[in-house]
Amino acid sequence: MTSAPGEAWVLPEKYEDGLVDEKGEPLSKSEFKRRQKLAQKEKEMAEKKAKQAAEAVARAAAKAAKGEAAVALEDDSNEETDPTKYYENRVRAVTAAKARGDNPYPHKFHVSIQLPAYVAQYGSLEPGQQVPEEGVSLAGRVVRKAASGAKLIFFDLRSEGAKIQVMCDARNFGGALEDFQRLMNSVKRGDIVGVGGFPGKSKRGELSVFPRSLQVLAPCLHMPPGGHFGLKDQETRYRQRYLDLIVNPEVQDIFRTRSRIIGGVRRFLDERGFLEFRNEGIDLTHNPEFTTCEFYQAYADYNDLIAMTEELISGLVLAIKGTYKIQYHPDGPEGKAIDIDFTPPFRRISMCAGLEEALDVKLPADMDSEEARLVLVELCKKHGVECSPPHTTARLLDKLAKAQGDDQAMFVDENFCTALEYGLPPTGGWGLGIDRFTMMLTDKNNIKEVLLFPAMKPDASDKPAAAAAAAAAAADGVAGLSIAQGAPGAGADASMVLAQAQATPSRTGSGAGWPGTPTPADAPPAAAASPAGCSSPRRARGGAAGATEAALERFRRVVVLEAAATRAAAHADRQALVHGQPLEGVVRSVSPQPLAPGGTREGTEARLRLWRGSRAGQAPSGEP
Amino acid sequence: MSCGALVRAVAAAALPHRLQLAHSARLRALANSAAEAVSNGEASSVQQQQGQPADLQPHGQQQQQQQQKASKPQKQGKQPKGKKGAAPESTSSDEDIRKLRIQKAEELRAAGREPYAYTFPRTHTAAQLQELHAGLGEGQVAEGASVAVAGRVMSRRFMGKLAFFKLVDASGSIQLYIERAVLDEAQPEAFAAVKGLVDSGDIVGVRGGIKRTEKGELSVTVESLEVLTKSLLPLPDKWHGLSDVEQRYRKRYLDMIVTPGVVDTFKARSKTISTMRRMLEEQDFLEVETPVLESSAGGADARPFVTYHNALGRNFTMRIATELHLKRLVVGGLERVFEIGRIFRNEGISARHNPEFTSIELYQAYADYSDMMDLTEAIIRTCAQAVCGQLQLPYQGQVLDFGAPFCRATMHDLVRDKTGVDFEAFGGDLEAARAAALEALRQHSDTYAVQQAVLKAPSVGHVLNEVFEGLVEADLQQPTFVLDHPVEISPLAKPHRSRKGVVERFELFVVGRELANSFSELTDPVDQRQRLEAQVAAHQAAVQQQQAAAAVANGAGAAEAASGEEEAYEVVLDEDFLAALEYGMPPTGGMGMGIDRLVMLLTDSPSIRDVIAFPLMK
Repeated sequence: MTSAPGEAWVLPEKYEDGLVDEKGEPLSKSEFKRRQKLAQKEKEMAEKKAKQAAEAVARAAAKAAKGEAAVALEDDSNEETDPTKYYENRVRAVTAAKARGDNPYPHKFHVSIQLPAYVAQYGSLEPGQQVPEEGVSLAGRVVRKAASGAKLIFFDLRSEGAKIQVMCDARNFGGALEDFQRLMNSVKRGDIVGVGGFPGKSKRGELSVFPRSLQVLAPCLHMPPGGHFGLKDQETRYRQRYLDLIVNPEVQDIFRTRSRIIGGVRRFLDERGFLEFRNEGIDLTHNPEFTTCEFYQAYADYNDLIAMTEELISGLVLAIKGTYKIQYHPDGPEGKAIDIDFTPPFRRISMCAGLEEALDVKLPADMDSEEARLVLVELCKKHGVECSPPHTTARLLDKLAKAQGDDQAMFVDENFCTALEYGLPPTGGWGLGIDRFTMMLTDKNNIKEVLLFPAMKPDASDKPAAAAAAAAAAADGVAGLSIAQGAPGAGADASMVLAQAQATPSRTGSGAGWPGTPTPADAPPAAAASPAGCSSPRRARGGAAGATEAALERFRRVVVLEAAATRAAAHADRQALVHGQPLEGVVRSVSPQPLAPGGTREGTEARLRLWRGSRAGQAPSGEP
Repeated sequence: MSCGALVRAVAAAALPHRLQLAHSARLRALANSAAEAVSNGEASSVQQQQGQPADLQPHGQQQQQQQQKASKPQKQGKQPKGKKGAAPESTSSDEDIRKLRIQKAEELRAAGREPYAYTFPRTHTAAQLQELHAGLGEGQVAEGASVAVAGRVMSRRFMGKLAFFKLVDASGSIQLYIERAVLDEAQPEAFAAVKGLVDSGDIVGVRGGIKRTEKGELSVTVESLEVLTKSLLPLPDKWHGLSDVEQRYRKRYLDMIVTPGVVDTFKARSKTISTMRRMLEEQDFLEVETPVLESSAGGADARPFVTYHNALGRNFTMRIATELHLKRLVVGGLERVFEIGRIFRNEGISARHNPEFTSIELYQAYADYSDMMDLTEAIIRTCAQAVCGQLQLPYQGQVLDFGAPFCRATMHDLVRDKTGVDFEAFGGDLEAARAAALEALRQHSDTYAVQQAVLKAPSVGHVLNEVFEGLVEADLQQPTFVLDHPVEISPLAKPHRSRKGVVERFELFVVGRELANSFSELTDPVDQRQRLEAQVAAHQAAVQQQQAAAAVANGAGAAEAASGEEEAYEVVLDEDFLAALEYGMPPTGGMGMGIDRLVMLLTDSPSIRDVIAFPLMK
């Protein structure tokens, strides 16, 4: 810096090659510019302060000359600037108040009207109009304090996302002027105060309250951040979210939106569960933490869920944003804007088609063939995707669909397998990433912006890499925050795509009683005979290995639904990445197949072993 | 005809040829087990032996329900005693059944019918049909009715060319009236296939008309039936149900199928939570989510679970309360917040304790504990009305009155009324308080443990609390707000505005259990720091004491010292929380309530395990 203590080093006026900093290390041009800017700002600030102080002195002198009370009202302009001294002063004041027998932390303050309601009710007053006959009591945090003479002082008061002006006129308080001044001087920016008074507007037309009494309800002992620079440092914002919420009120809106999304989803499901005739059989399972919403609807399949998803998502967007078309900045506010259109129906892309599009290749029509497998092997090689053996079609597809950091051990719930053997009704399962969806509707490109308390590394001085790790931590199902494995900052397409877990040929609703109509035309003959029939890209390729793989895959899908929202989230992301459009992966939907016959206990256990084996990178046929 | 022979005969008639051959040996073995609806014929055989089918019996339905009740053994004459227990519960039998049913599923598949269907568009639930056709007379057919229903087959009876199934869905049940001629008209041999391939326990979808039988049973006259899900395991013995309580909790899905009322409990639970949520949202409370994994657990005095995070390479504790994070949000300006969430405490399991449980915590700026009392009362009353439709609730043999204003009494007054001892008189005189407490406790039986606790209690407030817990709690059956606890046991509550030594706090007791806990929140950061520091010091002293005692008892070996260490858990000062308070938190009322315990009261459930779908089991 320009005046590092004990150093003679001074920032030169111009940049030259070979310039070194105070430690003797090379100084880059950008760093030089940054420091220059900072020095300029500091200089301006110091000048401003000096000017204000001079003015205050002049004012006081003028007042003294007029014979007014010598006590000046203190405000933001003559506030203590050293944080430590500031803190000490305030603690001293609080201690003194306690010693006098005052309670600096009152038990209760009656709020007659909340600030947003106050704004709504009195926002239409005329400039200069006052309503002294209507008594109100309001409370909130003081975010600005400015004195005007010795008898008038203005506060900005904020609460619940609304802000009004508090116009303290000594005449309205009654009593001695000195008492008024002492009371006003005890209030600092950042304090929580309660005021009793009447509504009105200033001559300039600003909605205000004109207090007859004022009480500090909780002093803010620290110098509040903000002022000229605000609180922009991300580390501090996430670590001390309460400061972020105080200083950056717009952050509150993110969490209100988040709450509206969750509430909207809940209401949508409740209404369909209990009111609508058509879906009377809906069966809801709420994740208690609800960061992913998952539910299972008996007697529905994924086509039903696609329709439902469209209705839900588009409805939510319309309700919250007032339009289907929103703008999103995937690279942050300074980056390019994209338009996302939630007008139903959404585009539907199969997994294979998505891969073809993303990788710009044409995959063989018959994904069961050896040829197809070899194509995938080549694709993996070409794109540097590692896939441990066995190189089955399913595994290769999965790997190609991006290996996310996937070391979270899959917990396989054997009990659930047993439940399946008792029979589940045909069930559609569905998941929605609340975090991601909130990011879209609040135009944030970092998951941490929509989590109140994102997991952070313990050490505050850590580098961005640590922040990334923390993001992953938040994402990995920490605190149930499971959809978080986003690639922040990645681009998104203009339309939203439903990320299907499987490209499943439709076999919806044969619509016939048993022994009714023949197999629907769109189901391949093999599908009718094979338990694995539904998952076309992963369908059994014939032979024992193929059948095993198919069974494994089928089992895996069931498990994804049951046990692991985390896994599901990762899966959605993978799907999205297949399309090269990470932000699209907000919805996951599959038609789970309960274990089909062939599903003996031995079979189940064998599959469990296979599953674990493959997860551990072992050959599926081998025992661990 | 003997029971076994009947089984054989019916089964043989029903089974397709191939299955007969493959399983004749198995059927012989099963013939000894008449009680279980194992093969195609058994259900009907048992039903017939037992008496008339529901349809021919005036009170058939009631009787069936009774039969399903867990742990209610039927009269001796109704079933062949001694055999039913052995067969269905032996593993080999289940294995046999599974193999047979897998074969049936394959039969279905071979016939072009997927035994694990993707969807079934139904038109009505059972309950809707019952309501819609409530006025249909006996023997009458509903003109033009064409319905599709789906559910689980809970019983089957074949009577020649007719079959009666009981179909159960989430809403209720309805009878399926299956006539061979009708079924076979659409496809030859369809009736035989139903008989041969559909078991009790399968999930089926049917289409057909509606009629009420001569005996008054509303029925779907089945025109077509498809298996939607082939079950592989037999449902538990319907007479015994799941009498083993352990099994009920471990296999909740079976419990829900066979034990009446279980599903209703979980519906009540869901309704309780949604009612609460709606009520708070209407009052402008914002629902938020705070972390489950914390670097140090706070907000309560309880042993936390510890877990390891790979990527960060460090331990986290799972939250034991949501309090400290929610208060940070109040500091941040979210003036009315609540969280409904899972809390984890590494403690023992009992009828009232599950290591993970669900709580609601709410905080309201500019409110105090009096406001919280009103709000708590309103929440409970609203939930009771929504879930039970009334405010006088039967609970385990008594009636709890949530309609009248809840009783409010201070902890000091309650203890004084019970013991005659006024603990306010002792000031800080711990010895005098202990002596008086012991004297009072000796007049009651079974107070040895409480006396020991009193001897160890580190302050007058703790002594008072021990006496309260030991002697008074159990008396508080009707809803009672216990007010104004000693400051020593309430580190997060504001000092009482007019009484010394106590804080503004209440606990709500019902049936002798704590249901809710609330304070005028402590907002003074200096006071808060002192109290938390004292708590940390007291905790560490207790741990050291414990370790010393363990060392003495065990001869101070290294191994023993280590085991003493395991007992201890860390309590650290949450500096960030204190910093948040230093930025100023408005006067705030806060309240926490155990949702599981509330649901227990609203559903007349004796154990917390009854209201948690999957309680923690050994």
